Amino acid sequence: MSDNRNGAGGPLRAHLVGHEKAAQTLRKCWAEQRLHHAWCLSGPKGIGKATLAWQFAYFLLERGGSGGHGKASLFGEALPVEVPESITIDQDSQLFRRLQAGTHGNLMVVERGLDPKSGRARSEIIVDDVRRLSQFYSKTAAEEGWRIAIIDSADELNRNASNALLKTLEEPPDRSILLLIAHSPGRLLATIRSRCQDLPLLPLSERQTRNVLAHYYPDLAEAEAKGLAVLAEGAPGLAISLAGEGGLDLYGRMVELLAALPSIPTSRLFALVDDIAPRDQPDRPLFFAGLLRNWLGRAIRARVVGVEPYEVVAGEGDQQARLLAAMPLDRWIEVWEKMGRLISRTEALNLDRRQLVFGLFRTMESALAS
Amino acid sequence: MKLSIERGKLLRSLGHVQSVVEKRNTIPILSNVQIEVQNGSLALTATDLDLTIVDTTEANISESGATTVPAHTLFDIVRKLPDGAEVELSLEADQRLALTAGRAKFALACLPKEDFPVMSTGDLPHRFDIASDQLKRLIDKTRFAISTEETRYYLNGIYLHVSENGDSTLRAVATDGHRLARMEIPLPDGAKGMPGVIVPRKTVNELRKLIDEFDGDVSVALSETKIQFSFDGAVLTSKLIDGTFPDYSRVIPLGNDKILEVDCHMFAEAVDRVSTISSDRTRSVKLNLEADKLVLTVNSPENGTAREEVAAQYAAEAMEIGFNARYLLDILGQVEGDTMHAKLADPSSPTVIQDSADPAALYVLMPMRV
Repeated sequence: MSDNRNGAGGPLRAHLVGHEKAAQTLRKCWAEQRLHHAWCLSGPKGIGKATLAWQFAYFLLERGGSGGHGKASLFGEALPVEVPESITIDQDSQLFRRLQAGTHGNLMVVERGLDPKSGRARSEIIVDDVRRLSQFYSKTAAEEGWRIAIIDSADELNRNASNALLKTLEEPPDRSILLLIAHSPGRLLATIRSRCQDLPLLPLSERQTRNVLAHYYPDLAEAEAKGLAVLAEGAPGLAISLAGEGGLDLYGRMVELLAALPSIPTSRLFALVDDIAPRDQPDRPLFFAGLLRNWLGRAIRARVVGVEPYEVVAGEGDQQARLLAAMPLDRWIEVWEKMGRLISRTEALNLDRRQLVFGLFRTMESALAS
Repeated sequence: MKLSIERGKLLRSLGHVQSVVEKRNTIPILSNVQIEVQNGSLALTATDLDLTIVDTTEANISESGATTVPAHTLFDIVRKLPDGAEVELSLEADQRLALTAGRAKFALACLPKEDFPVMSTGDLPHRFDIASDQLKRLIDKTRFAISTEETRYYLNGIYLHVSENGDSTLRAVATDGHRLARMEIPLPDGAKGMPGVIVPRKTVNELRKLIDEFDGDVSVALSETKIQFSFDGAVLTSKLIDGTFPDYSRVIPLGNDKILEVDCHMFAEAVDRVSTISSDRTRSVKLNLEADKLVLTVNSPENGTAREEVAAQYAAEAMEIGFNARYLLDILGQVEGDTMHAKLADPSSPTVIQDSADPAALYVLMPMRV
């Protein structure tokens, strides 16, 4: 998850849990010298796609020119290389330092750049960012071995950037690999997807999420860790962001406000939105909008499956039960779907994110009122 | 690290490397120049990940060590110091580089040397020496024709290769599809068997600057992926363009039989004069060839017309042909002799231009429809 990269010390330093099968697939293809040149690592935000991509890049660069579509031996097929069991990252190595500093000549990372006019990060990856990639592949390798590009994330490529990528994606030079990170692969151009080998990553289990969380926040209380893991729904990156930003407190206040349904006092709503949407973090409201929707989603799911929902904050279950009782379940599912549409439209059309949070609360209010 | 050096020497050394550093960089350390004390002398290194220049100069070393500081800032500071000042550089404990010259004191922010990119040269099996004026000619006669268009990236450089037609020669060729420039010199000892390589434009420009700065021969070492030029005190190492240069010999016409000979300076001045009137981007100029007469005309619907007559030697049948004035001037600028030899075929076929003083240089220019 690119947004929390600095907080977590970079994907290379991140603690990779789960995804053993995907990592093994990549390593196996490498060892068998049939590594495809473009991979699409897909899955929800914050589950460790970038971490896997970076660690695989480290793996390839550490081994220099060996493996991959290397030359066959004198007697036909190349000798099989043993598949390494895991990737070990030596944080004191020169390679690690240079990858962290972004100064390894064989790795190029394509991310949203800074807009020189406003000084803020752009909301998408523009064509110039991708052109740097074409230039990277048009020159010989800086060092012996693989030339690697990580595109983080492919969802953020705008139309022109996507089209500019196609040529490189179709026919990169020898010993090149492109690792595309996609939060929602369905949104990518079909022409991009068809050129990539898909490598879907699944959300982690709650235990795995807590395992990652404990790596960064070893002093978290039991209840807090469990709460964060439940909210993150298998995305440790999300749990880490939440823990770092006092997310549990804000979540608690959000749930408290839900207790006031069917009519929420505007002043209290304003106070909450001010706290979750500081001017300098335009993406944060989206994140909390997602939590609010998931809150309803979890309640509905628990009811359908017939289990008691886990209470991240005390009294949450009662709130959920009270609201679900006020209206038939199918109406609630409609509300939940509508909230999803609002969120994705806000994201797609770059609408006011603060307004989105108001909108979601008001959607629930008006559904209850009708 | 601690040393002192005369301001002029430091400025000269910095001047050799600083232009490699790009003005805008997303990776902070790429804006920096590496300062390292090596075997009793001062080595400055700058890189943009595609090429690296290391310049070594003598200094009074009191303590060894290395660091990196912003290249343009350091260059500007040294440039503004008074002539003849003694500059002291010392790395302080708080990761700052203290620069003292007379009463002026600076403390510059540093980044650790370990994060600075390293360009590995690998094995460079082909080595030869070339006189600097020969190398200069190879570059000057061809670099104006280098393409800037990125889709045909293999044209974004000078193609350096061995030609085996008759006497073995070392050839430089550049083209952008509209014009082509070819220059050759006798094959230097040791160059036989070298692979044909495409040297990128930026490397060519940096190399050209260094040639003016140093006397004596230049040692060239290259492999299929790297090229290195060593001067007495500076070493430039660069990646190459990873592509195949087109078979340019097919576009050099051999059967052109209409010979035009014209005084180069008069012709160039006339082309420059008449093209003033042209308003379109193409800047086309029309040449009317008659027996021993050359008439240049430019017709612009908005500005009017221009006409100039130039004395010439021409014996073949009369014809009319159009050229891009800028392309024509680029070529005429490189002709050293008094007379330009042009071999024409017809108004839609490429024309060959040669220099009376230097038969090794050859230019091909596509006509324009006028």
